[in-house]
Amino acid sequence: MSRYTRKTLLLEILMIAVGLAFAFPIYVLVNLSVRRAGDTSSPIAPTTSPTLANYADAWNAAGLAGALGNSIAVTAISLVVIILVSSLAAYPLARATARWSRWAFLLFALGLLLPAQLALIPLYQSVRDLGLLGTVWSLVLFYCGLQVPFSVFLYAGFLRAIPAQYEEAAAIDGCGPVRTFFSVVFPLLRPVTGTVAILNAIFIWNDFLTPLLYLSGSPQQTIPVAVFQFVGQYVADWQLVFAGLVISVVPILLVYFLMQKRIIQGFAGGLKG
Amino acid sequence: MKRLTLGASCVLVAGVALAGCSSTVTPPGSTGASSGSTIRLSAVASDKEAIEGTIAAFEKANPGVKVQATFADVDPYQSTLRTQLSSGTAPDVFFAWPGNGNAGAVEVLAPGGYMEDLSNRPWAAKIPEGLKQVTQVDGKTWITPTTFTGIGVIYNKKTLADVGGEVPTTWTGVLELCDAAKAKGKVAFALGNQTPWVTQLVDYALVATTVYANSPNFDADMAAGKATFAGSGWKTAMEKYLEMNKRGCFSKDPLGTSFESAVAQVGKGEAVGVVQVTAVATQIKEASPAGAELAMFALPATDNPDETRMPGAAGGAYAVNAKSPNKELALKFVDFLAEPANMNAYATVANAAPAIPNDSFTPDAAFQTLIDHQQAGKTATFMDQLWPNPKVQQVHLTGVQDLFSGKATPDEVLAEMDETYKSG
Amino acid sequence: MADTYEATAAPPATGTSTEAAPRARARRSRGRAPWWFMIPALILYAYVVLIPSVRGAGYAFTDWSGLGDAMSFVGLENFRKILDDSAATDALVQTVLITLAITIVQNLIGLLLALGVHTQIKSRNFLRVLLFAPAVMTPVVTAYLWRYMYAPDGAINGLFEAVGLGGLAQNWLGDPDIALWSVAAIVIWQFAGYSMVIFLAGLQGVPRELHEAAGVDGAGAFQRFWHITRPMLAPAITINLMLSLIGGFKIFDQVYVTTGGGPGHSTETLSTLIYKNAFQFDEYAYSTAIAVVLAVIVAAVSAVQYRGLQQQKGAA
Repeated sequence: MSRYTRKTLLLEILMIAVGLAFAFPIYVLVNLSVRRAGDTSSPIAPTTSPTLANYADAWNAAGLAGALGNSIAVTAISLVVIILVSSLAAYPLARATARWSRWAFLLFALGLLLPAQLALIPLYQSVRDLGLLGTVWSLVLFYCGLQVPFSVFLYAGFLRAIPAQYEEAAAIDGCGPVRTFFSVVFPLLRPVTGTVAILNAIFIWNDFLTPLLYLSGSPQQTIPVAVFQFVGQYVADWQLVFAGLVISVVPILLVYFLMQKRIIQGFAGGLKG
Repeated sequence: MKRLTLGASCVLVAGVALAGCSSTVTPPGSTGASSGSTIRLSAVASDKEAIEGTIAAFEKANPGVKVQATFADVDPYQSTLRTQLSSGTAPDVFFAWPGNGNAGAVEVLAPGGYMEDLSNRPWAAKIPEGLKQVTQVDGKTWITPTTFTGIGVIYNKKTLADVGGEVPTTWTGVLELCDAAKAKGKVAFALGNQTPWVTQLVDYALVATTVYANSPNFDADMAAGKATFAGSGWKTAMEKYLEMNKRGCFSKDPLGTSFESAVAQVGKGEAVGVVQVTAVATQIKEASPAGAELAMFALPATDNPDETRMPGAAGGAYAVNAKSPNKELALKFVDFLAEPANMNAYATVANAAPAIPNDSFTPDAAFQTLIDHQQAGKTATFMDQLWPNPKVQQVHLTGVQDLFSGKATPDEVLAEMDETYKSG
Repeated sequence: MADTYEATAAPPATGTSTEAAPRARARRSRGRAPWWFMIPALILYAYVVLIPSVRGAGYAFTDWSGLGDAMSFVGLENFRKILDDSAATDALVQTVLITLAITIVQNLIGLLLALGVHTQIKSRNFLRVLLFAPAVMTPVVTAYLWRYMYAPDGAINGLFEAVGLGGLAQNWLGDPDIALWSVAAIVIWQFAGYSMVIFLAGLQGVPRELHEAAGVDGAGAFQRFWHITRPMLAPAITINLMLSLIGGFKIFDQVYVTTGGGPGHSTETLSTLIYKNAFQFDEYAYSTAIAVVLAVIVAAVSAVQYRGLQQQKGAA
């Protein structure tokens, strides 16, 4: 292991400076969210008498409690499905050498390119015909299908970089393909799974137009829909709006924070052999 | 072995979830369709507070009835509403704009057969003459207009006094106010031209006078091909708009200023007022120190005060979905909304006058000027409500931004508007 | 979600017997990775994306307004119209410009950040979270935030003035010559951390011993990066470039919330134009035609890029 040298210290200082620069807009966001109404000092000056009242107001005004539950349910269920079906699909795509696997990979890649606008109306009508409008299941179905290409793409990319020797060993030990996948391949994919999970979670958590359309007219809401309804209403009251925005971001940031060590640590061990 | 059990349980969990992904599972407790005593309603977020008041009153007057409302900002509202209408899943009652020239306007939506004919409702005959044109298509009434709003200068009385200015009644007076505000390090009018829909308001306020004072039949002439934007008072209005900018009447860098910033500038007293629709007064009040006194005046465009007109038009309106499974209740709701007491309550929250005038309404003194103009017949309807397609307005909005960045001249913008007007 | 992760985070198999490899190679054709593993993913993908997209693309050959039953077949008329529409051609040029800016700058910054935090510095865990934080926010949220910061009297100009650089203050979103780049900067700020995370995942695959050995040999930092790190990062680079290219071409939220395509049409992109035509101009069919063109362009660019990377990988 490398030592902490003077050069490392220089790097440390540099990186912290860069981090501060990145954090500046977030500072403005949080700084304004704790400000009292009528405080008109500059947005960059630290708030002198911070208050959490905006958070309480935002929480109540936007009805965030129920929306939070829906957002968590939709995100969690979708993630489980996406991770399972995408890692399964990526396995033959990354390993098989036949011509069809290349074409199949391109077919999935196509899903990344298609503008969402093309599918909008026909898909909405399919979901209507399934009778799922107004329920969170419509969203789960939507995200599962929509995020599969992206996730397959990530899984296949990283799977190709992993040597096949582990699976080969498992196959020799008499494991069938299903057992080989779940006992050998899937654990090897752990770091990528972390990446797939967090990147998909961000997208699903934050999506706005889909829940607005699919849950419209039902009592169900997700966090962004609740928050933005509220942005439209209190448009000049930035303190309140920013407090609502901070609330909507915190859960996902927390998940990333808890997961990031696993994502980063688990990987090296898996690849050293 | 432990590994395998973990794997297996994961498959199990995912399997259950996958079943959720398929169509066979019926989720408990929630359905998209309306049941007998529930109607669905959707509206733009700006009218949320006003319609929520109506909903509460309606639910109270009809025990057991529930109104499930959804709100969104204008753009997402239009896109979801249109998708729902074309898929037959729209709410029972929905917000729509009067007239034409907007993707959610009655003349755009009614011909598709999406709206229930409201001509026979008890209130339909009471719609004032001036609003008939924008609530009717093919001689039938399709929407319940709720508010009558106007465009003028909403200002803070104290700021006006601070700069030593007075309410202008002539164009010269407007420019003097600009100079007076500038001398005190403020601006006369906050202007948030970064937000596209804001760009049109000053033009409308001026055009009401420069076009309609002398040619009240301008819209009919346009429709008949007898008039053009370029050859009308529109050009004068745009030139005056630019003159005001040059004179320093507006916020610094209007193109970099958003609607919200403009509102904040009036609130903080950095600007005397803002050319806006009456409803925005609510937001200005929220942004101002407690006790601020707001008022409104019409923006003059000539030196003859008698010529001054104010844009005034039906604001929001509600339609009943023609395919609603619960039409009776939906109709009951719009009838309820049209009752004087309820419409007055709605109008009061929305900072406007009721669309169907009645004696029991007492306007906020600050907005008396709009009512006065209406009663004197000195209003001109919002220009885009009579344009033949939504694109003319878009050309106007981007055109004003091009004017302010020096990328186009009034002649060029008006020529493009004429071309777009004729195309559809 | 944490539970899910727990369940899948079984320790990786270790202790591979190296002598098994030759025998395994002989059994490779035995269907170790059966094709039917793809079925669930394919079904979901086809139902939600492929089939509706193909059906949706059908509108491009009609004159449907987006409402009503009136619709007739017009052949390639909508595509011909695109060529005459200066708003569309301008939007195409601006989309390409902003995509290039985002792809290059975002990945470069993302890579530098990844290399910076993939070291012994004590703040690395903290920075990994901090730098990624913008990517976690909804683009709509960040766009609102930046619109506020970019205002003439907003935080950015305020910051410049506070440090005595008031001359650098700009009308960030109101000046048609710089508005496009101001929007690009929002995207770069937001997603540089996203690129960083993908690069970091790739960097984990570079054994530290290799680096250290090279260090002993006296290889310079850049050479070490070029000869050891870069080849190992190939999958991460492919993924990052692909994602930012596609994201750039489809950019919508950040533009729509900050400038709405203005001033004038100076920040109009293909996606904002598609949206406006579909839901504001009553020209649904035409908007679909633009969407088809966008899909074709993105496909072509991605194909060229993918091929280029494959060849490079072969050469490395």
